[in-house]
Order: sequence, then C-alpha cells, then structure tokens
Amino acid sequence: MSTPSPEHHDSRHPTFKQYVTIAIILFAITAVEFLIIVPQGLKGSGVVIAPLVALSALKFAIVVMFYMHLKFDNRLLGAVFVTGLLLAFAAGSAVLILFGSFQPRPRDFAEANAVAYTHQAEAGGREEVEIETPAPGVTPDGGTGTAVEEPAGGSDLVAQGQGIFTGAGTCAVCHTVEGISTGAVGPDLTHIGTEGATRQPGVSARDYITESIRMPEAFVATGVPNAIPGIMTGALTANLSDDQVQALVEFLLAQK
Amino acid sequence: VDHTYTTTGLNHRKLLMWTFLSSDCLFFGALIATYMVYRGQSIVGPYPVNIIDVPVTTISTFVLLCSSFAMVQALAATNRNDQKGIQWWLLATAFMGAIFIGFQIYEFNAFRAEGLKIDTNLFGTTFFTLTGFHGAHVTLGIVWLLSLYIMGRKGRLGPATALDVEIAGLYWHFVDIVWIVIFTLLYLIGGFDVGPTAGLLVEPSLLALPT
Repeated sequence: MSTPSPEHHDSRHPTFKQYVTIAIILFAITAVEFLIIVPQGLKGSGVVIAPLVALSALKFAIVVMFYMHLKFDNRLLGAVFVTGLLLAFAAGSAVLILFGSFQPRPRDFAEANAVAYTHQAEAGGREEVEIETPAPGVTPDGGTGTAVEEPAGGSDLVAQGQGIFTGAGTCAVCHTVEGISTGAVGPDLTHIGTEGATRQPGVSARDYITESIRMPEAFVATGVPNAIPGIMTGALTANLSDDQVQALVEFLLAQK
Repeated sequence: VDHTYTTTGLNHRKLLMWTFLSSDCLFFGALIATYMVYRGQSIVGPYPVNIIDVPVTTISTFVLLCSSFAMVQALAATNRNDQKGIQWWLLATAFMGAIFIGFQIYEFNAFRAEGLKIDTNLFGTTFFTLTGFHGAHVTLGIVWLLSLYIMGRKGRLGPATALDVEIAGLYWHFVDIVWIVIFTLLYLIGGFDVGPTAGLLVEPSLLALPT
C-alpha cells in the first residue's frame, strides 16, 4: 500500500520518496523549533522570536507548495490563496498597530493592575512556585552566608527565607542585603533586623517586617533611601504562603 | 480528472475550496491578531507560563504533521487506484487527527483544573477561542475523512473521483498549517509569558515610579 508509484500518471506531483523527504524535513524543522526553546535562558526570550517565526513560515510554505501542490498547480489558485493570506496578514498587523502592541511598553496597564497568581492547591497539578532551599550558610549566588546568625527560628528557616528572598519572593530584585543582593529600588535591608524595631513606636521588628511584607502600603518608612510610597504593594507578595513569609521574616530578622 | 468546461479552465470545486481556504486565512488571522493584541494583558492568573505545556503539545504537533503525510499518501493511492491504500491512508489520517483532538481535550481539561476557563482572563478568552475554533476545524476534517473512508470501502474512490480526496486533502493540510502558526505563536513564543508581577524578575525598570 505504501510502495512507490512508478505508474503515477501526473509527473508534476512529487513521488513517494520525495514525500517522505518532505515529511522528514518538516519533522526536522519542528524538532529544531523545540530545541531552540529548551535552554532555560531562551525560554520566552525575544531573541528566539525571529528564528521561530522564520522556521514556521518555512514549514507553512513547504506544506502549501508540496502537500497542497500549489507549486505544481494553476497559478490562479495560488493567487486566490495568497490574496487571502496577505489580507489576513495586513489586517492583523493593522489591528496590532492600532492597539499599540508594537509600542515599547504595551504591558503598562497590566503591570499596574495585576493580581499575583496564587496557584490553586486543589488543582493537584504541577508545581508553580519553586522554593529554593540552599544549604545553610551558602547563598544561591555563591557568596558567603556569614551574615546569617542563629535566631530563634533556627538556621534552616533563615536559609529557606534567604532562598525566598532571592528566588520566588523576588525581593532581591529591588532590595539590597549586603553580600546577598544589590537591588536599589526599595530600602536597603542589610540591618533591618535591628532597624525594624525603630521604625514604628511600640512595634517589634518581627511585627514590622511581617506587615511590610504582607501590607507594604500600611506604613512606609521615612528618612530611608528608596522608600517611595506605592511602589511595593501586597500584590507582589500575595503568592507567598504564610510559611514562606515566616521564613522570610526569620531571614530578615537575622540581618542585624 | 474532471474535463468539464469552465471559464477559468479550473475545476470549480477546487477553485471554491481554495477561495474558502483564502477566506479562512482571514478568519484565523483575526483570531490570532486578537490573541496577540491581548498577549500579556491579563491581570489575573493563570498566566501562560503557569499552565502551557510545550513538550506535550510538541508531540501532538508531530502527530498532526504525520497526518498530513498520510493524507498525501491517500491521494496518491487514489490516483493509482490502490483500493487498500485509499482506505488505509484515509483511516490513518483520520485516526491521527483524532489523536490530536484527544491531546486538545486533555489540555483543555488540564487548564480548567488549574483554574483557566474561557472567562478567567484575556489569555483564557483568546486562547480557548483560537485553539477551540482550530479544534473544530480538525473535528470537521475527521468527519469528512471518515465519510471518504466509507466511500472508499464501497469502492467509489479511484482516479475518476480523485478530486473528492484532493479537496478534502487541501482542507486537511490547511488545518495543519494553521496549527503550525498557532504552535509557534501561542506555545513556542507565547507559552512562557509570565504574569505582570513575575515580570519584575526580568525587568525591574518596568516599575512605574510615582511622580
């Protein structure tokens, strides 16, 4: 049933062997497309967009020309199809331009109004938030963890908190803790373990730090560099569980 | 081969199918453009990176590509009047299409379990509308192929009626190329889109500083 067909009447059509070759080429292109996005750094990166679009356009063209015989068929059929294709492309581009999708910051509205996604526990699906748990005394970036002292909660919790600080919690992006992170958007937290107790009268460092993580809007320290009201919101930490926040607090309390 | 005289010199059914596919480009073009406009605009999760499973969908993409190869073989078998081949390849094409739909049903169910429904956010709305309509096209194609298979079993397909198979093939390959585009844009490129909050990880400069 799948033997080559020498008796094929229409010599303009590819032979069985040529069809197999085309299929292999299509498979290879798809495999390459998949391999392009396997490296962690390339996932979702803008660098891969051009090659991926080019490869899929190539596949598109191969299927249309050979599987759909447009290469061998009457040119009127090709003209009819390409007209619709170009119209669709033009209309789509027009819509994207109209909605500013090519402008530098098309996501501003979403950035300003977003609610952090809390993974639904009942889904029982894949892990969404990966909590980095580095070995005690070792920071994820390979630096020294000597700043970490032994607090009430134990060094395990501190180490876990540090993992959240630099990992899932994304705190390190904006906050500096000397030897651990260099973020410069929010206040320096290098000595927050002691400074935390002085920010609000009658509020312990533990309570102050906890509130500043869960409800940063409630109180914004003054006289501290980078303490700009409104930048940090509860939405940024809403995806952290209570246990994660507790570990984070222990880690920050250890920053004397 | 149909020798009926027409003003264009082309068989009208075939020209009609190409015209339909041309218009279907606009149909899917509109849905794809809508997805792209609203890409990254969801303000509640799940976001694509939370639920899109690229490896699984790569497998179903391979299956759909395979089905296009089988479709080509079905037409070749029809042209050389290989009755067994006609039935075998038509059934194989429809079967692989059904596997693809199976993957899609699995995917939709998994997404729903993770909290993404068509009205959850802009991602859900545009994703399900686009891939749903594509799935509907595939389903229609399966029904078409199975009808041809029944015709084939009755011995009604052969060189004289090859156009029946060819036109179904054009439709089937078109559904395949639409998926080539969807797979690239929604999975390989858009599948790793993070929510705006997680966007802080990659670009702190996106933070709007109040003035």
